[in-house]
Amino acid sequence: MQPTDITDCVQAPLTVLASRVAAATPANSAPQEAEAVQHFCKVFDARSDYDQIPSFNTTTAHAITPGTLVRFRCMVQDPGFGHEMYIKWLAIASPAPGAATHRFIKYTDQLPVLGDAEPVHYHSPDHVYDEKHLCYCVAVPGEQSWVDPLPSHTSATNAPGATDDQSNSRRRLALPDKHLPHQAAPAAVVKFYTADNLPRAAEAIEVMGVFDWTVHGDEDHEIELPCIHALYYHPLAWPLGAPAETPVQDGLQAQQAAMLTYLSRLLGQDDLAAHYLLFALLASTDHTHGLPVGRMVVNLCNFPSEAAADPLKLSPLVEQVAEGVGQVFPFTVGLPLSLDFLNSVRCSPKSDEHLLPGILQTITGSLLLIDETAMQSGQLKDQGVRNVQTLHQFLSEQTVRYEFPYQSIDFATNIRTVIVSEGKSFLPNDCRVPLHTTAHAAIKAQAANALSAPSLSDSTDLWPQWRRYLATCQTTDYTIAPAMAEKIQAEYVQERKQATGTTPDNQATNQGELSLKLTVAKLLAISRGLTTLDDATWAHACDLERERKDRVCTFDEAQRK
Amino acid sequence: MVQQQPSSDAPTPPSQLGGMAGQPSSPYSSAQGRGPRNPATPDVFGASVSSSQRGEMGNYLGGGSRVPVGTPSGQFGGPPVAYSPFPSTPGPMSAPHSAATPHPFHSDMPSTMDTPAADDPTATVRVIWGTTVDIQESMTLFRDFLYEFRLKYKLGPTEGDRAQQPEYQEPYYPRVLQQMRDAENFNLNLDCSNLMAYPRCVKLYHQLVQYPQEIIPLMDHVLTQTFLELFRDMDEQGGLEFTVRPYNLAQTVNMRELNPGDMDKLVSIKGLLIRSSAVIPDMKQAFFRCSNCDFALLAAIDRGRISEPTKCPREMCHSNGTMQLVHNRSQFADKQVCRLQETPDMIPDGQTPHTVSLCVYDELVDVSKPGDRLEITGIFRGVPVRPNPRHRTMKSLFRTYIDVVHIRKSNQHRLSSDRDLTGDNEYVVDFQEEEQVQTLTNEQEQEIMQWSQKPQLYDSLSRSLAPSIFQLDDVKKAILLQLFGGTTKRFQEKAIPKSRGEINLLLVGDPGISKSQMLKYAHKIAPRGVYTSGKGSSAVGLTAYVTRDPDTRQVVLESGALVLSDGGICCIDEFDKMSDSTRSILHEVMEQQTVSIAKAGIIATLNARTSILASANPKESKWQPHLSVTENANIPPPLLSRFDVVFVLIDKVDDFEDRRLAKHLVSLYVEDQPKVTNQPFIMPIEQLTRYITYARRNVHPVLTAEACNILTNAYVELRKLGYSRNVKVFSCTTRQLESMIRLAEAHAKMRLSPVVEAMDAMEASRLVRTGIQLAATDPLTGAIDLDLLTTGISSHARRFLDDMKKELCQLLAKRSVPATRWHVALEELNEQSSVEIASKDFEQVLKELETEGVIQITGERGHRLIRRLNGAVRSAV
Repeated sequence: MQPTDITDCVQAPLTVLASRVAAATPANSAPQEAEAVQHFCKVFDARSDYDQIPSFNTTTAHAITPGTLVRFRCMVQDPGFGHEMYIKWLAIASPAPGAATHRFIKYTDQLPVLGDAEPVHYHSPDHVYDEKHLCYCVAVPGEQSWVDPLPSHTSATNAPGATDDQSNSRRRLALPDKHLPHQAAPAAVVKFYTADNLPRAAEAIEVMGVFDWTVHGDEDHEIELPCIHALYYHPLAWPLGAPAETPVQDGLQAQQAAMLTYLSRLLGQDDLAAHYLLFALLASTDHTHGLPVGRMVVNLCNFPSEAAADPLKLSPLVEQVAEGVGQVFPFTVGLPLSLDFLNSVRCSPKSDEHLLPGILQTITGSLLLIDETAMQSGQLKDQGVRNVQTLHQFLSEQTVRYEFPYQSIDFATNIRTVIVSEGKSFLPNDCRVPLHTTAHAAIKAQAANALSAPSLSDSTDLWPQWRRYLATCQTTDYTIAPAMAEKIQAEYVQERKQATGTTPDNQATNQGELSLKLTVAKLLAISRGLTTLDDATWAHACDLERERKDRVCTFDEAQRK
Repeated sequence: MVQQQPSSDAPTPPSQLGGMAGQPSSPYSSAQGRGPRNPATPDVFGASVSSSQRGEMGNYLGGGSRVPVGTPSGQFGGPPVAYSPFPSTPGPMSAPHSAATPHPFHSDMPSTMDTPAADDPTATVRVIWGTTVDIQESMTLFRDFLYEFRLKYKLGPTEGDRAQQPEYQEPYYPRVLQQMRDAENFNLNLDCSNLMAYPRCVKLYHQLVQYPQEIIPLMDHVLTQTFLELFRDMDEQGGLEFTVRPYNLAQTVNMRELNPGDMDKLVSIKGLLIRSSAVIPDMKQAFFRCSNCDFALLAAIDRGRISEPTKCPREMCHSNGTMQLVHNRSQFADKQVCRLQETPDMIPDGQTPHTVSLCVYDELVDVSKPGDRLEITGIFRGVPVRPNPRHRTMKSLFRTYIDVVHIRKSNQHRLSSDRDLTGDNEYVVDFQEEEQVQTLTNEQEQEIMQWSQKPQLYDSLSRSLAPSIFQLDDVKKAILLQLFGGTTKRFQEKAIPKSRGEINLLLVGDPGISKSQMLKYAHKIAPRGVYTSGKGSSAVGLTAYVTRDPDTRQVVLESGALVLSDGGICCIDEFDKMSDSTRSILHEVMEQQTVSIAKAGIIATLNARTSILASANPKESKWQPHLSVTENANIPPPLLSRFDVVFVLIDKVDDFEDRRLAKHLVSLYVEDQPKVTNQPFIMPIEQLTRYITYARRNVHPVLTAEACNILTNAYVELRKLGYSRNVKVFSCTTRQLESMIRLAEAHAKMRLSPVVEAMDAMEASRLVRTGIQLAATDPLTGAIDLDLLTTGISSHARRFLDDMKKELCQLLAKRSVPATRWHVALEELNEQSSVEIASKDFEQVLKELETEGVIQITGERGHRLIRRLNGAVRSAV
């Protein structure tokens, strides 16, 4: 392989590719392109080289010249955007002697102009046809800007001539959809050239490919959408958005303490709530048993409320928490439960002509922050009722319903959820943590002088470290030693016995509570970097649960009065 | 896709087309011209009259799949066929039927099969270019098939004896043609399995699949000939257009597997119709008139396109641009564009369903509606994507769709059309095909049979129901039987209503013991069903509501949860939290199996043949052992008695069980534990569903005498339990007997046994007893007492109250003054009694006595006086 100039590859990928394929194909033999494409992708093996490709996430589509290389970190929003059959190898009707009989025209929608002498026939037994699969991809919802910092050379991609037909009114940047508040997220049709291993709905992927525009819709409502012919793609590695550096291995216990301090500052110095917030960030649901196991939907109640200016946005106090969490957690989606929001936004994805997005369609592992303080009394309309039902189902089973015509399919998800509310949440949740009343003042104070808030900005230099910490914890393997399991079982049996023996009115602990305790213990252990549950952690988990239960009792009594 | 078809631009070798290039007067060249089968316009849907002003962009429109692109119009070598001035010339094209589907026998002679060969003596084997289709051979084969095919060819080796019956011996298709003639239906639905079964035609079948565009017109032609030969008198009528609609291909492809290799081949796919357009008039023949001289001209569709003449063809006139289209004298055909979506069973795990576009024509338009499950047979096509005229570039893309030649509805797997459930006055549409779509493959059926033979069938099935739920085995078994359901019994005497076969279950119990999970599992497995929560359901939401259709402004009836789960299971969680008015509508559903509505001008009775699986929490959120079921569940007795089995699930503290449960829960958190699904004898959920559906459809067990005996004895014994304590209470009602019968039938169904045997009956009575023992245990005596379910007061309490009543009467009778103070009476009664009398019970007794007219109560709360009515008290004593 001859050395290749990276700039060439970025600016004219198809030319480079075509010449490589031509070189790799001996005369009069079957066309071979798979290897050449692989070699082409290998050029970008090094991270620094890869970074030279303009990112579709940070560059507007109009600024990219069609036919150049782009990369796009995105979520597959509609995996069934359609199929197209295309001519992969165009047979040349009357090739010059010794010249190639075929021309390689993969990764583009255009037929080459061959001149009048060679009319192009659509149907020829000599063409090689293949199929491409179209997906509609959008930038990952709730992605924080720090996940992929803007490359320094973005301005270089503003090649001359790129803005030729910006005035073309049919060119749209995204499909219009009135049911989701668009944060003007980048979106593109991605054309995949393989038949197998296609990405699934709501999967996070990284695509590298040739940028182009594609026509979409019927004759009357034709629009042009940005499109990427995927040369290469791979699913984003778990944990998502983890910084590329090697994860921290030691000192996790200290990191955990620092992390908890940070989170408790967000929640008005409430340590217990900070613990549960951390658990919510680390929880992951396992669907392999038929039941969602390890789920941790935390309800932070007794949270001070303050009306939001815009009903489609989080209330300022919750926004503050979201921002703080967002500095360390890569994907955070806010969901204000205001009536306007519930009545206008769609929670579950729905298929019409295409799969229209829903707010619950987000990637595995992202955080959904439900703001119940934004709720007020009023009438829920049809969409609102549907949304509440969808949320209900999502929270109790960790599945998101995709509505297709005449059938709906439930997809198992793994989305971390925190519900912030004033009173007890009306949505199903796993554990309720009433905020300490003293925290109210602290949270409000922080919001009042948000500009000069010392608590958030003074830890800026520690954020990268914490991001790594969260990523590390999520990958920790965890197990329970048989002896420990024995102990937990014995404890459970004992507790139930005592409960019935002494206080007949008091409810004996049941399996739900045991599950929750086990989940808390697991999350506490992995937040400390432990791979097995030890006595101290178990005891601490039990203490936390007891403290939480006490607080719930006190809170409920106070509410009753 | 890969083969090239004769196209008029290519130099057509005379030896191949017999010198008829450009004159579409033989069946094979009409292969492309035939309207419905070749609407290959790139703007797929709607052959438009395109003017030649469109220039080079417009040209490639013609011929869809076979005309070259991107060159000026001069490329059509040979005789131009852009339009034909034939109204004046009685040429072959003016045959009575559409010029797009000419048949040679109209222009030449009927039944001259050898005409093409005679034209060209040099060719002994002539095939259509790019294919292996030998026209002569194919036509002879199909002709032979029509005349000679007998049903006996389809019989397997084991069914040889049936071959002697006359219906298997007679030629099959002449009879079909006779029927077609009688019904004046000119579509022949050709079952391809017949072609396959006829040894000589196997090749024809393969050709049909490979080159449908060539073979189908040939078949049409042969069919027409054969028809006219058989019924000579029909000859005169003319205008007959026969169509062969092949179906039942050997292979059904999955929508996902369609690829460029299937292009232009006959494929068969299954799916759910999700959208269909309005009927589009598709122009077949355009009528042009010169505005100068009124010269009329007919232009036929040619390769999906009609070319507008630019000049008046009349030599006298010859003016430019005067030809105008006259719409109402042009000919149109029906066309519809639809979309087919994958059915849930075809979608791989975690994927979203695929869709494919369909084009349907003529008779097939509006045959199916959105929502129907179909198996369609058609030709897979790709047409070049038309580029935006504003862009110079050409696209290398094709849009794919299917031209439908046959539609078959498959609605058999829906339980609603289960014969068992269909009422006498119900009309079920039978689709005309003799064979319905097979929903089970043979292997699947065998697998089901194998399962049914297993000794641990019952246990393993019930465990498969909810593998992750711990214990509660009897509940699982009951739900399993509920899923199978009993047999709906209809009686000969019309006056007796049919008795329901659906089993209703109620789970009452402590929170946190997976009741809801159980419901979710049942809902997941049930072939049809709705899951709803009592708290969130309103009466109309459960039954049906009347609403105004936003489009038509007409009043329409929309089904609620119960109606939607007709033929399935309706799971109602938090049954206790349901409002009383909502609950009351369940009375009708649970016994009569119907929902009646009368509102807004609509009076209707809808079927709701649904089993109800409900779960309820106890009134005080925790089961109160000293209260009865009715008090705990907070469900009125009339409703409670409608449940076949009531399960009381109490979160008992039990060392052993607790330990097992804790172990199970802890194990879920251990990473490398064996997966639950790997356990032996656990059936995967899809297979379980299949098994249940199969059993429900195919097995209708009948009680044996032995089973009858056991059930009778069990019933008698249940009733005896009530008598044994020498209390005259009506312990067990016939409702419980019916429940047992249903459960026994369900158990037999599960074994795929045609008869209900002793073991089924025994299991049924065991389940009923388990349910009763738990649910109807008198909280005071611990004895079985169904009175609890029917009156709300236990028989023990009943007896106690009766005793008290008697005592009170004696007490009052003994007293000298007729009036007694309230608390005095209570105190005196308490002195006599060994147990303390609750004032609540005392009040109840007084109230009863007052209604009986024995006493009279006057005064306010604390100062009430009991006044005896003399004669009555004495007689009461």
